[in-house]
Amino acid sequence: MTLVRRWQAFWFPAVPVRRLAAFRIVMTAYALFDVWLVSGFISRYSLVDDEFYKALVVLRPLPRLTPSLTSAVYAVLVISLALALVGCFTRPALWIAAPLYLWWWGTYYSFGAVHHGRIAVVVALFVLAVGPSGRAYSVDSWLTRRRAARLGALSPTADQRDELAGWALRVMMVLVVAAYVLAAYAKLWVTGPGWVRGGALEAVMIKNGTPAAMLLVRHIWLVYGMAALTLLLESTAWLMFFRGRIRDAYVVAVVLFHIGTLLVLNISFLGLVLAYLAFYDLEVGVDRIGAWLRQLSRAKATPREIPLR
Amino acid sequence: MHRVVPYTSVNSPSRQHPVRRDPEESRVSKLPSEPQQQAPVFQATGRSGGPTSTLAAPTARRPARDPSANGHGVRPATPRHRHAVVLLSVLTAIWLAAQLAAGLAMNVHTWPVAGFPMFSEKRPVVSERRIEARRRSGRLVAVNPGDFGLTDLQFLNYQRSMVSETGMVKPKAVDRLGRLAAIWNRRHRDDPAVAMILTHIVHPLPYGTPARSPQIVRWNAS
Repeated sequence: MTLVRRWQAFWFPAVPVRRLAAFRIVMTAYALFDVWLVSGFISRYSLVDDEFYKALVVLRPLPRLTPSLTSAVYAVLVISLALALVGCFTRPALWIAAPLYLWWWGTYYSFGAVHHGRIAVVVALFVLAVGPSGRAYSVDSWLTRRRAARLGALSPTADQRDELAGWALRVMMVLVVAAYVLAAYAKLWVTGPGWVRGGALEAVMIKNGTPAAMLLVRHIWLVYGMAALTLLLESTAWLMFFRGRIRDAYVVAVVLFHIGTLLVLNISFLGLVLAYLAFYDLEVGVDRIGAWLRQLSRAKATPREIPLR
Repeated sequence: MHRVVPYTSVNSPSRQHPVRRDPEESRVSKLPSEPQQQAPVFQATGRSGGPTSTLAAPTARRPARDPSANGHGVRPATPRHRHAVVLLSVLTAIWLAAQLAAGLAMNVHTWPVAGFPMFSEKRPVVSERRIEARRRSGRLVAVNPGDFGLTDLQFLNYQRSMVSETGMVKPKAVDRLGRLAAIWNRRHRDDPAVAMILTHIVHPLPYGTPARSPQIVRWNAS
């Protein structure tokens, strides 16, 4: 197999479109929650003085928006994410939501503090816009089926596979792994293996000052242990490419790690954690939930038998 | 009374085993003329070994397919689809190269294609900063991030451009403090600041080590 074919084989495996559709629901639901309920305060940044504004590279060609325009962007972003979530005009909605979500958080990060938790969400919105993410679990697919039934034509099968769906999920997998491996690289390049005892974790624990952090920071060997585990976890993220127990164990470890960072450092990486779902056969989970719900509804519908003596 | 549960088998090249299924679950297609796909779900969950084993390589001229796919559900490759794949290949290569470059250079300003250098530097100290403004009325008040519409971290990073983490006062620190005072005064015109003081206290690590004497940057209205 030539290098080009290997490349194509890696990036374009045909996977069920239902898998990508389920991934769309998770990521757009998170993005909608994130924008609507968490990030409303960003609209006020249009009033912050230019002295603090250091535009990210991606925003440099764009002017800063006025408060009224920022509010309009916010409204369009929320509506487009809601449409993408339910799968109504899915692709146009995602093509509107992805750049606006990037702009929204890029604006916030242009004031001197860049966070990494939302990179996965931005990339997810873009790849979902490219991939056939609206071909299942969506209003669009329901309308397509209904139209086909009315015309007596063949409707798309529920188990369609598409290599663009595989591509979209593959990009997410590579991004998730790259995020951890590059974080480990940065620590080892800048400080070396001595990073574990370099005080970086201790400093951020003191700086953020959560009750859990202030309790733990008094035990220096515990802090060194946590730092060592962090480095180990980040540098072994490539294990996620191995299917089965290795991946499951790694995901459990990394989810616990992020719960720890939330409690101890008050840093949320929920967007990145949700992106792990790209590694899993989500359509299986949807089928299981569907079967369980059907079973539940049948059990409720069936009247209880009264034993006769 | 016992309910009879049908058993179906999966014609997968990787594994075959009986699967208990709900009769309604197997109704993938509603069209009677189409072949029924039985249990693709269980094929997808097969735990065969090796990296990314569910995502198999494509054949030479056809698009990639799952090993479990029987060809029924795979979208036919139209010329437009093939062009999209070629275009995406190129774009993916560009993105990957940019992501690796940003990652190796540890550049965060290229977000969302950025490096991940968070907490990578050695930190022998923890610093504590506070800014106070002496108002025309003589009152001394604390200057907070909220006064500028910033978060704690954003304001801290701005202060780092005046005094480094280890306590080194940077050139033009007084000018920057003056600009900060000017912005602050725009919001407090009734009683503006005539002096602004940045106090920086360094606490060596480990936690509990006594603090060093503070560094002070002072700006006075001329």
